[in-house]
Amino acid sequence: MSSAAVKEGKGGALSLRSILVKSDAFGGTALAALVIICLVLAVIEPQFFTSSNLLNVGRQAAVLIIVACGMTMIILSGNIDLSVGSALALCAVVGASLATAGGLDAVSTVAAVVALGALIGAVKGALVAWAGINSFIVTLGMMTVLRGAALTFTGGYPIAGVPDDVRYLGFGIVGGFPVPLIVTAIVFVVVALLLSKTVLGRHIYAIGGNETSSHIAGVPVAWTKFAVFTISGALCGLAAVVLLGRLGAGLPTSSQGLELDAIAAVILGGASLFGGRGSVFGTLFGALILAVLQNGLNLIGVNSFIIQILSGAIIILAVLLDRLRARSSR
Amino acid sequence: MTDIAPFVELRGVTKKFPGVIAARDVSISFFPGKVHALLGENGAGKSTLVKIISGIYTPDDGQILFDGLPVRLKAPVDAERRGIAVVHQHRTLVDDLTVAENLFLGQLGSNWSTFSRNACNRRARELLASVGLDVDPAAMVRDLSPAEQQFLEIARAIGREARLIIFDEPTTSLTPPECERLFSQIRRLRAEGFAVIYISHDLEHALALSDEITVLRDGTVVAHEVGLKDIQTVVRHMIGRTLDAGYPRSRTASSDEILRVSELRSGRLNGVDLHVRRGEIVCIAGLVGSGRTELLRAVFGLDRFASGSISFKGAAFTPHSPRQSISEGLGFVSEDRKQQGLVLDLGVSANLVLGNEPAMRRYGFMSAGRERRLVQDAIRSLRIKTSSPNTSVGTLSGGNQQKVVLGRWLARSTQLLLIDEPTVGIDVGARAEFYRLLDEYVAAGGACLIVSSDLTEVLGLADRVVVMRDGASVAEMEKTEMNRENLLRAMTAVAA
Repeated sequence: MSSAAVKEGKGGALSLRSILVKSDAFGGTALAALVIICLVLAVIEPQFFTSSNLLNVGRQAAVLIIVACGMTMIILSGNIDLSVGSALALCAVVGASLATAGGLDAVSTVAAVVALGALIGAVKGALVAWAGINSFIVTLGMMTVLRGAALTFTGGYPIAGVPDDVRYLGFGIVGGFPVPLIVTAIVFVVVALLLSKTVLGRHIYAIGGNETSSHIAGVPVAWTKFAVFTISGALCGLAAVVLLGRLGAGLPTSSQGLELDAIAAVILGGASLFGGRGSVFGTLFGALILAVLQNGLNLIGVNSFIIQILSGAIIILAVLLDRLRARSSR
Repeated sequence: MTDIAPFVELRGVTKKFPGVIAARDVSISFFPGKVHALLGENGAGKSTLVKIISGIYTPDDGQILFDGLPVRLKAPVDAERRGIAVVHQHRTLVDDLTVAENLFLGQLGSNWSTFSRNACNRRARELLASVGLDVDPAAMVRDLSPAEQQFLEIARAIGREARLIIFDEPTTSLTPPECERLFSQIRRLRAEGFAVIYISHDLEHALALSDEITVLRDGTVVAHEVGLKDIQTVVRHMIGRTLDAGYPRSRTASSDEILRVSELRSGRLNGVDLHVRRGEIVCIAGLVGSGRTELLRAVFGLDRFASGSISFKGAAFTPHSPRQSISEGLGFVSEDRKQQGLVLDLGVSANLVLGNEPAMRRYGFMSAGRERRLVQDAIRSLRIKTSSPNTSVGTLSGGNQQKVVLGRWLARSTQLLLIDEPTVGIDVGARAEFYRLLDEYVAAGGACLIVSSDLTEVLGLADRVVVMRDGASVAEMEKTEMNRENLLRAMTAVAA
């Protein structure tokens, strides 16, 4: 978004441009792209726009959206997390083990998995905030450490036989509506409120925009980073529960590359990779673009290898379009 | 002058931004062999014009002529090819390259061509000699002083066969002798037939240096004069009225000591003693590198100190973080408001409450109403010019940005404000307003400890001056003993 475009028109008149610019703060570009993609898919593939298929898209996208909500906070704060996929796998296998061999009840299992996620996040956060190590380095290391831990924990084998009550959050249906979608919606609303209505949210934008200025102004920079990683970690734990429910088993090799999808969703949503600018609305639309493309192209019968190529290309295209738009509005 | 054709001419140039007309029907000519000063307050349109001439902005209306022919500058490189060079306020050199590499950066050929370091250095030596800069072409730019870097930029402009060199606030980080060297260099450029545009808030020097001046206000040319040397006239043009005495003084110092620093030592500090009373503005004078900024940072808890003591509000005080200092009632305004004061992407509102967000809560959540009240109060009482509270603060003028930083501390019951270079890069009108705001704040029971390189400002603003040299406080002067000569003597250790 160019700085000049942020200025409102004189007298607060709602020009088309000011509406566009304002909507962009909520990922307007990503929303427009999402709508267009959906319309095109609906025209060429009648199967796409059926309620059963759309719910299916949502169910598949749930894990990504939950993780991407956490990633939004991390990127807004000027950090990055490459280890969310590994963290999720570790949480999932530990959860599966607790629910099967451990014999824990559903509520305790969910609580334990979310707590484990938060703990993992807290470790990353502490290393970034107080040891002062760059988050790229910390999480690059953690990506391998956590994946190794998940494989060691299970000996490399999946842990199957997760009981149905533990699977509820990922598999259940309430009033014809998948429970994972409800969980996702709640996460989204909570993160949106957190970012816009709480002190923490304001501090996240502030330290991502300028850490030095924020520090001098009295923003608790280290605590903010720690909180961001911890909350994002807890969301990874929750996403692990949802994944566990969907698959019915804990796989130590699951969610490889999830971190890249989550980062892509945030960037597609219009956030700056350097922090300070973006919104969780944009991230939602970004994640849905990725999910819809995957699903729609699949329905059309496009080879899944080709889908990979297209998904990657669309990320570059989206950022390119955004840059052109920003330049022309200057 | 009529027999010389202008090198660059603007005709009826207009540039609009949403809600603001940054340049309105501006016609102006720049002649070879002339120094043309562009004067005006921040936001008057000087930098807009510079950006138009150097190809960063495209005008919405009007013509740009080079040697009498209309041109379209689509990008900075177009302007550079036609002979425009800008010596920026914020340096554009690459710290980790050598002097020679910086000189020829972008001219080294394609990425694949080889280049001869020897030839490069030889050519660099010639260029450096032409601006009287005595440094090794193989030296790293980061090891150069600010003044040397500035001269390097001039050498680079000459090396690129520039014909019009634009100086944008070139003196802000230079010491007085360095300024003199710069001025004689600019006079030499003029004698050699370069066209020079000189932009500065330092009116005295701008007038002494220039052959003609153009004064801008609100994007419009309000005066164009040749050979004018009278500051008062220029100031009147700039602000549209006569400026009354710049340094109001409604405060009275109390006997209540708010800060005492004793024998403070650290890496750069070598024994500092001073005290500040409530209702008093104390200035610290000293050359760049005398430890002035380090002192403020140590008191505010940004840097550690090795020995010595600080007492604040009558009690021993060991600062270890800005948060703790702020909660005790300290505030700090850095000399670099863009890097260490504001979050440029965020709005005026978010910047005003930065760090103070917990006080804006209601039922645990940020209350839009509370924030709006605080922000509207600040915008009104500090007269911050912004089109809306959500305008991103990076688009404001320097004076208004500085008011936002100040407003943040005033809203937080700050008892002692530490200010580093309060008016660097701020124009005359906004300065006077800033001084008034400081006076009001101190009169209402606050106190200020101010570092300034501008002796006029020190003399006008201070109730008392502490002079620092080589990391130590070496002299203290009451209002009655202060004058330019005494200060300079103490700063430079010249015997009386």
